[in-house]
Amino acid sequence: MLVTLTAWQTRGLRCPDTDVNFLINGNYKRINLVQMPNGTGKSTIIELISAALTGDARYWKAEKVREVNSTESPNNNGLFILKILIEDNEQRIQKNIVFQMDFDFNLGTILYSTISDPTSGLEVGWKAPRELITFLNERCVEVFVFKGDKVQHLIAKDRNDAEASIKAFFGLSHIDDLEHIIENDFKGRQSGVTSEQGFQKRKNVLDKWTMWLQKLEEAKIELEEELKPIRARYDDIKTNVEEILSGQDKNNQTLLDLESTKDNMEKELSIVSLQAFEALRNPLFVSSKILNKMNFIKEKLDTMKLPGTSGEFFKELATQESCICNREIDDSSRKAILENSNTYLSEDHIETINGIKKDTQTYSIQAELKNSSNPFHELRKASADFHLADTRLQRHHSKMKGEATAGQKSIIEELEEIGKEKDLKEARLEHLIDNNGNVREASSGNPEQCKKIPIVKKVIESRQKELAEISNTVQEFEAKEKLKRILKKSCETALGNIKLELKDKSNLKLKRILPGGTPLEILSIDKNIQIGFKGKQQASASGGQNVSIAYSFATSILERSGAQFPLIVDHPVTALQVSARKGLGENLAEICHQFIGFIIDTEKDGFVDALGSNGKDVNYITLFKKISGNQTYIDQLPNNKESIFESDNGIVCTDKDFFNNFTDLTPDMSE
Amino acid sequence: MKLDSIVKSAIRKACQEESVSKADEAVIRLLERYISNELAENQIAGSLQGIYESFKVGS
Repeated sequence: MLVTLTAWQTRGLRCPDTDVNFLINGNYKRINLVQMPNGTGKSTIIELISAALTGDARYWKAEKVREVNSTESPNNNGLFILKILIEDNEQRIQKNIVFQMDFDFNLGTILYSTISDPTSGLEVGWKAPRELITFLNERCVEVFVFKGDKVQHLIAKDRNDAEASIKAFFGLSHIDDLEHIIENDFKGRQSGVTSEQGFQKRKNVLDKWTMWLQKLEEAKIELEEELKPIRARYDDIKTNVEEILSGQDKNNQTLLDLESTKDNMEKELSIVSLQAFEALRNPLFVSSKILNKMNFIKEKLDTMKLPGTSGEFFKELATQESCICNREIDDSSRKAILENSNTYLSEDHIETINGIKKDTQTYSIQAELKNSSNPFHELRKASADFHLADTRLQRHHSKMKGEATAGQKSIIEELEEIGKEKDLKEARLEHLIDNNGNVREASSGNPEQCKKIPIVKKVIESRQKELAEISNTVQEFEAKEKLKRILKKSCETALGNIKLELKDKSNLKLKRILPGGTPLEILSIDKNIQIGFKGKQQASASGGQNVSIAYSFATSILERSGAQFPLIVDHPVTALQVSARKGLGENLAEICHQFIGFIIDTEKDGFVDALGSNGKDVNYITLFKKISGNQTYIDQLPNNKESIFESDNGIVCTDKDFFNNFTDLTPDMSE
Repeated sequence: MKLDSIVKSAIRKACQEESVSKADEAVIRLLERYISNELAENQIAGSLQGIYESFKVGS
């Protein structure tokens, strides 16, 4: 994919108002030189090219925006338009893209508009075309827009510009961001326990509970097995005893009566117990103190006329035109009503207070009614009746036993013994299968303290569920770590391989640019570019050599990444001796598809001739301010008006001879 | 954005080393979509879940 800068336009900025076109009759030239005397705004234009491509000026502070305004005749507004062409023969794409920046110097703001897709027209905002979205960021643009000390930065040992550029162009810099996203995603999933240790600890506790359940179930089976012969023996003896007692007719009838009485008393006790428990649901009934306190609160609320009217009522009233008394509500009354409405209770509070009052009244009546037939008194009476019936029955048993023969006594005693054993074991069995209990409380304690099988089962179920959730989190934690390792390893491996490939590519280009036999090459690319020759490292090279290395490296990245942007360079050969300029000029067209060099007149020597050697086509552009101090240039402009663009404050000339003869009259002016 | 073949190959190798070869295409897709800004915030969890699931399948 080729990306070509086709034009820019400036209005009302620190540089002259100009239209500069690189696309002429549908064709562009590989080499483009823009000659601008010092102080014409070279740096401004290069900075705006960067800002247009990255969209970064959206975040500029107002002061920085205003720095772009003309210092000589400040404007309210300014405009910068950058046009690029995207061509991809493989994808059959040819797109003209426009980035427009509208400056408001009063507000200190910039409004971007973009044509990122010619079919959708100019859209507000900075919108990268789909094909370039991954490249139009500061780190990538820095690779092909050379400004400041970029050349030195690629080689400097204390910098990582070379590696950062590779990472940006090959998408590897996104891996760091992706890692944060993976971590954040995990935070949203995790349930608290992430370590294998934490998981194992919980699993051990679950195992303890499971083993305890097994023991309890074994104990239950054992009890049931033990109970079988006991029950059988009990039933046998009981039959014998009944036969014995049936021989004592009178006693037997009495016995039946006593047993029946005891059963009835037991039933009565059960009914009264339920009533007593039901009564306990009314707290006012439990103690007269509670009843008295609640009645006291209710009386106070009544005295204070609480809860009263709600704040909402007044807020609603404030929206009406008139009051319920037909008085008109004016703005000052409305304001007063609204302010005072905050001193009233809300609907929620009113509902709660009314609830308390109503319940106090209702439960007081119930408590008074219940007081007349106190269920606790009845419970006490029923309990006493039951114990009396039971005692009478026991006494009768003793009496019957006393009237029995020695053999019969022995059978009756055996029944009593077995009965006790049976009752004991049945009680233990009943406890084992008891369903009532607090699962959460049991779960937090030692398993052996809980002897109810259904509760133990519920604890195990709850702990299994928890473990399943944790297990899932642990698995996800491991998966997340694995993904991060994969991305890290991939990044390292890819970076290493790309660096090797770029080193070879760059060295091939370097050989073309540097004079034959120059003992210099890229030894390796780490965080920076390491230079030397035949394995022997050297700390620095000459200015020209450094420029050659930087261009070779940058163009190799562009070529290898498949996105060949133009090489845009501020002062491309300032640091180069005339001989070195020649070498670079002769080969520059070979290493990149579009070169745009911003130069001053003193850089032309050696460089311009070499660029145009062997019939190479060069676009010669001279741009200067239309001011009285530049009248000499204006007078020298060619007659061919087609090669001249003229605005109120600037002139652009594309004539080759004018370019070559142009000499800066104010060489010492700083930008 | 399609990832460079060197990057794709590095991802495949890393997945192989982590014994999750079958996950390599999912990881490549994730990175490509992320770099191209095609991955909306609410889609990230789904994409990651897909990769974690493919880790279970292993090699």
